[in-house]
Amino acid sequence: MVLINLILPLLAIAIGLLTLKNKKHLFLLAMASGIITVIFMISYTITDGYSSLVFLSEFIYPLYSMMLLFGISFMLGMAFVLSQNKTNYRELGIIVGYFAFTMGILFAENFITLIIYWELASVSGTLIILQSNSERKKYVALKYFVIHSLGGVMLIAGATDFVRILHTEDFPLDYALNINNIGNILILGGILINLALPPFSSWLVDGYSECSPNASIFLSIFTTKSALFVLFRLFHGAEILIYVGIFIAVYGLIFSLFESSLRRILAMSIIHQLGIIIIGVAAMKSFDGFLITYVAVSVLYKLILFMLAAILINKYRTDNIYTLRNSINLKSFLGVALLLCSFQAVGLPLTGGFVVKTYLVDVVGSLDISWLYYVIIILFAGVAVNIGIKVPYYLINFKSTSHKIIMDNNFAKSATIITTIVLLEAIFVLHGIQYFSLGYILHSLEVLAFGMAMFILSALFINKREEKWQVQFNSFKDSSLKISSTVLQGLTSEKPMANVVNYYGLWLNKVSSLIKITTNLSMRYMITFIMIFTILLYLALRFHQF
Amino acid sequence: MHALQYSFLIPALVVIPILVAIVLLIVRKSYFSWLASFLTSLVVLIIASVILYKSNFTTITYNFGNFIPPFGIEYKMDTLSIFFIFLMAIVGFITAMWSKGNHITELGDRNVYLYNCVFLLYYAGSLGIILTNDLFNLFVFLEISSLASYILVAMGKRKGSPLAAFDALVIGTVAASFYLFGVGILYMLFGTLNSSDLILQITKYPMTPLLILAITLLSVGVIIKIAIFPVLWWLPQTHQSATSAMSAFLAGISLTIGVYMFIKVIIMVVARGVHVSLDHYFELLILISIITMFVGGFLALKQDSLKLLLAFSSISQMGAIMVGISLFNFYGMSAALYLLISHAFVKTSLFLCVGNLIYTFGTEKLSELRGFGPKKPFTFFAIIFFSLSLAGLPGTSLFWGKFYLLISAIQYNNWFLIVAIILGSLLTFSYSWKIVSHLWISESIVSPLIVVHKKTPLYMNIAISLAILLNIYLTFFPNVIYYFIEQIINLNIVSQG
Amino acid sequence: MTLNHLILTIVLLPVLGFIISLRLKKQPNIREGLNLGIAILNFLLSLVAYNKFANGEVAYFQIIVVNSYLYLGFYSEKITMIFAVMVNFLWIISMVYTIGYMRGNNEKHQGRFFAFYCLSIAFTLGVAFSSNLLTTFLFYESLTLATFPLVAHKINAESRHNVKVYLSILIGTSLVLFLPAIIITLIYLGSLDYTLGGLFIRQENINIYMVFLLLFMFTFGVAKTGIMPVHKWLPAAMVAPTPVSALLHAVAVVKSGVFVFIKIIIYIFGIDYLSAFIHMMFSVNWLLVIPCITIILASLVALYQDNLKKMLAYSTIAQLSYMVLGVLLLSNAGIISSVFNILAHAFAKITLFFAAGSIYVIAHKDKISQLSGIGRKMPITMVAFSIAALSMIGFPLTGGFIGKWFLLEGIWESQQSWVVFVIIISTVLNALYFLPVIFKAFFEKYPTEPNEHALKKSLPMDIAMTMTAICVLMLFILSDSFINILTK
Repeated sequence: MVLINLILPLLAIAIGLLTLKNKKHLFLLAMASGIITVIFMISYTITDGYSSLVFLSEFIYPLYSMMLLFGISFMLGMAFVLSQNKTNYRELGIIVGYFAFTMGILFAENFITLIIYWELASVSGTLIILQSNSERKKYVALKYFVIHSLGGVMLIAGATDFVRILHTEDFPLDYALNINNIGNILILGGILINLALPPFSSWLVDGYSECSPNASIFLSIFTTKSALFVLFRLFHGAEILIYVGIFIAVYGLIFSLFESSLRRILAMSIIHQLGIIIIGVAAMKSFDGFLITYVAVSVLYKLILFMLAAILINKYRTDNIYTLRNSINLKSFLGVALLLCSFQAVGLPLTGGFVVKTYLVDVVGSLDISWLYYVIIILFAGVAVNIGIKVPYYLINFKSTSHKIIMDNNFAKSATIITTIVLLEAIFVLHGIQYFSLGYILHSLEVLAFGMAMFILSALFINKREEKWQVQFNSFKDSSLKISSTVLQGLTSEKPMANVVNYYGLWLNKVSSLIKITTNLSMRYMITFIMIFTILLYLALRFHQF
Repeated sequence: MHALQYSFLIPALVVIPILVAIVLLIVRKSYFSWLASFLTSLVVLIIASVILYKSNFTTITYNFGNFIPPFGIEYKMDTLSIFFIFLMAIVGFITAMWSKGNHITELGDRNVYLYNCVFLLYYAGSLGIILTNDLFNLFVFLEISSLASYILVAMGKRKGSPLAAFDALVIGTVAASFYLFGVGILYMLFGTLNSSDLILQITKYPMTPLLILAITLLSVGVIIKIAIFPVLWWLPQTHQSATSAMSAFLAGISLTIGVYMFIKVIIMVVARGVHVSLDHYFELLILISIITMFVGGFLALKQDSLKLLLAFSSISQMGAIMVGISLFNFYGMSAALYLLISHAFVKTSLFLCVGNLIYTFGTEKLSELRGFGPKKPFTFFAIIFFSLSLAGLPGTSLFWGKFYLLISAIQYNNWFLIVAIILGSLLTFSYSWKIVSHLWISESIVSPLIVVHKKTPLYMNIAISLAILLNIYLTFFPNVIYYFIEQIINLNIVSQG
Repeated sequence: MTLNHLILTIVLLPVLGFIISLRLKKQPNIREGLNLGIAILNFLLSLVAYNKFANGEVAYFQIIVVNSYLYLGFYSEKITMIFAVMVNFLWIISMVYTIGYMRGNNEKHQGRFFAFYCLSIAFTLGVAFSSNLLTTFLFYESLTLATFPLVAHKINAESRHNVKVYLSILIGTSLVLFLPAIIITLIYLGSLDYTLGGLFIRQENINIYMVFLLLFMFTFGVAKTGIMPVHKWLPAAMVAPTPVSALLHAVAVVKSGVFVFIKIIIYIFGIDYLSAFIHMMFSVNWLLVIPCITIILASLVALYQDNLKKMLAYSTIAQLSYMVLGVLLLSNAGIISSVFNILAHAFAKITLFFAAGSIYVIAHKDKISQLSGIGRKMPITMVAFSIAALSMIGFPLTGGFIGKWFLLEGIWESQQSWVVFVIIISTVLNALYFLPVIFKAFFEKYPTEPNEHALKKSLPMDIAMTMTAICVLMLFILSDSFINILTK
């Protein structure tokens, strides 16, 4: 079985690389792989006794919904890429393999299989990044691979302990690991690195923003979501994940406010959402399908947003949202799609976002940690700030009726696909009827209002000096990197002591420049403090109600 | 009683070379003289083999003129003597065989007969030292061999040869007179000079200052002959100045004789006999031996002349051997004997190789000989082989010697000694490696080598090949030497451990 | 032919190659053909020997006997047989490679080169089959000297300097530490034979400080393991032609060092005794600190090397410490990992060196910074390089992964969880210094020079590299059977 698991995706990548000559082949391949996925799913459900195809219910086995989600998003992504004028076939071939490997992660029935696919997926991700035209691609790819190999080896290390203790290499789907020995902590760490745990999160942001626009659509779906699935399998109900999730989410929230590039905002937002989902994982007492629904919602509207980014980048050769200001007409397909996405993100009633968010609030509420509710609300507001408010605020031209985007042949196709996705999301609305009570709607409005407040604050104080801040931040990062590398180089060379003495003067210079930079930075920190203060104030007000 | 039938062979070992030497003085033909000395050494080898075969490691004696010891002169052939006789016979045989071509280049045709004549005298004297059991008779043979060696050194055509011979003469005479004084005092005290008898007498006799003086004088006399630290300078000079054949023979024999005398006189007679503890005496010896080891090693490392390098290396090795003997236990003695025999063979062979180089290129300087390999592949191979043996490449006989020396040092439980021996062997490796690296991985930078003689005579190469075969044999069958040593230790030289 | 005869033949056949190569200086085709034939014959013989051994035949014989406790003995043992098969197999491949390399590079003194190449193999096999410490030491030391002409092959100032470093460290450590340690062992334990369970367990009242001293002396005395303070010889040896670095300084020499170390730990100290000894003082296995430091430091140094071969050398040092670490874990899985790592690292590192050598011969480049776009020009070379590099990182689908897996299992088994973090850090560092090379080779443009000549292709070198790279992958696929052999 392991061997078949191994060979099928390898075959897929081989076929992908060898046969991709024109769009027809590509289309056939994409459709075939999507259909195969669906067939797989159906066969699995039938053999396991599930006849229902409804995948948004918590009753269904999460694997199948996850698989369906992957299959559908892969098909849609491929269809989108097909509609573009320029296609890098080598890149797409690797993407096929990448998809196959992430599917392997889902199917893995023991640790070795899991690790093999895990690492293969990271390699194919690296290769995808290397296909871009960016100047920093080698650096970013190295970062991507190295951080992933760190996660991979942590997973291996933990797995060996697991295998030693249990005398088996299998792990059942419902197995909840205790975080009481170092091996399991390592497994958790390995998974969390793939979920962009902050000190190791730069692979995600850099990787998704430096690869080619088409590739970022696929990258944004598979790596983190498959890792999430594994986390879900192994660590559902682990209490520590609440704090980890909050940490990840807050990190993503704060740094997304500082970003100006569209794709980096989206990437940071992914980190933010991952944090929220991890809190959900902690709250789940059993391995059921609900969280997959949440994942599905976020994956689908991220898919739209990344497609949108791809269209804009291909058109304007930039993804800075200040440069792209007012670039989308409100009355165009894109404008509508973007608005729909923002509704999803804010979680307005009648959207999938509303349903999953209220459900998550319910689940978290079952944990009996009173402050967690407010944290969740704030984090939802963070989603609202980024995608719900910031992106449409800058991109959509609300006043003018002129067409800034020229309609070409491909555009129609793209727009159709995007609409399909949006329609798909409507399914969630249908399911969530039970949540349409007044209280929940008020909650969502509260989220929106708080998000607006945050956005206005951040827009007022941060974004004006965005570029200057970016320059300073980069120079700080560069100088610290340079210092550490020179020191390391000095220490590991032939004459370490002499080098240390030589670099001593350099150190002093760097330290003085560091102080300078931090004094300049203080303004930003003050704004952050103000925001935190506002949040606290809001919370205090809410407490008064009780 | 059985052995007595062959005991007449013992004096023959000494008498034959002397007789041949006299014949040579009369005949005065170069080729004949070479052939005679070669055949003589062969005969000595055969006789030694016969005696060993017949006696089967038992002690046989021969009384000169049938005077019964302790009054008459007794020749005694025990295992220790056979060991040394064999060593000398083999070294003599190989050297004599090799020496012909060397005579022409380094000696001049006219002097060849004289050289061979004196060589045989030296040979006879050396053999006599080993065979005789009488301390005064030993002195006589010592003088014969020493005088012969001075003549041989002086015969070298080099610039400093006469001076070196004179130095050796002075120091040698001093050593001999010390020895003679010591023997005189012993005779005064005990009235006997036969060593077997002397042991019995000494064990009965209490320790007196006079006896101590005798021991001291004897020790100093012998130690000068071994070229231990304070008086080692004469040795390199003689080796440098003598002809290559003579150097080779000196390297193999002269120091070995010194060590034999030490074992015979100091260890077997005195140390076994006296009542007091000799610990401090031996500790002092160990100390100066170690100093010798290092001084010799460092000086060897600095030399450019191959002959000087090898000579200093001999000094260093003698230091190691003396450490082994002075440790005065089973392993130490085994180590010393191992080192002694293997060093004698290797050093002789190395000098022969250097002789070959001098014959071909007319120089012995390492800096000039760089990268000569392709021109003389056989000599090159041989010199590399022997250098590696000298370095104590694992498996070679020198390695086993070093191994045993370390064992004895560790049993002696003195860390200073252990460290010293380890460093000493490192030093040995470094100077041996110096030869290899200079001749092999360096290319000539001074000037291209001038080939004086294109073709090396066949017998030279055969001699070296024999030496190589011998070394290989000893490498693969070290148990031969070990058996010998076990038999020697059975003579109760030291307590078995 | 009994197993005894077979083993003797396997050790002596390369010596025949040595003599042939020395005699046939002027006829390269015959010489190399014969050498290749000997290599293949030796490989087949070692396979036969392995088969006999697997069927239960046991070999033991002595050759040079001094007395009852000092002798040179050979015997057959599982790890030994595997090692012998591996060395002989790689000898064939590297022979093919060497022929391509030496001719492509127009090296001088090829006869001498091939001769000592064979001799080194003979001594390596001698180390493998030796049945006691003395024999091991003998071949170990001879191996150093036999590789000397190979390291000093390019006669110039650099090689002379490096040879000095090479010899002084290897000979120095073995004479100052290894040999005295052997003698102390002989005196205090009365034997030098490799014994199941170790020699120490039989002895009562052993001085603890003596054991400590012996441990120290053996660990640093076997400098061929490349343990950190005495590692400098390995980068110095990189001055040799690449086939030497590939077979000898990535496989034969260093592996024989590790091999000796494994044997000393298992058969002289004995695992039970040693673990009891170690835990007498602390609960932490403090012995592991030495290889751990080596792993981290060597990887850090490798990070800053621009010379490709130097980088590979430091990588070797780090990887060798993996094997040392495996043994010192004193657990079953640790030893399995050690032996498996010997195999995995051998195939991977030889591939890396083959690649480095063929880049040097064909493109005349030996610096990492010069390798831009070389992957487009020499795809086979760089793909093989990438596979081997991934194996070094411990990537799945390569042999290195299995080695790492068992090493980690061994670490957990002996409850030294802090070592896990060392492995994690080292993996990241491995990735950091190998991947930029691959990225540079494949994703940068090849610099076009005005007087550029077309890159020649060398079939033997390509064949050799492809084969070893396939072996790296096969080690993963067939890992089950290897592990079965080891655990049986």
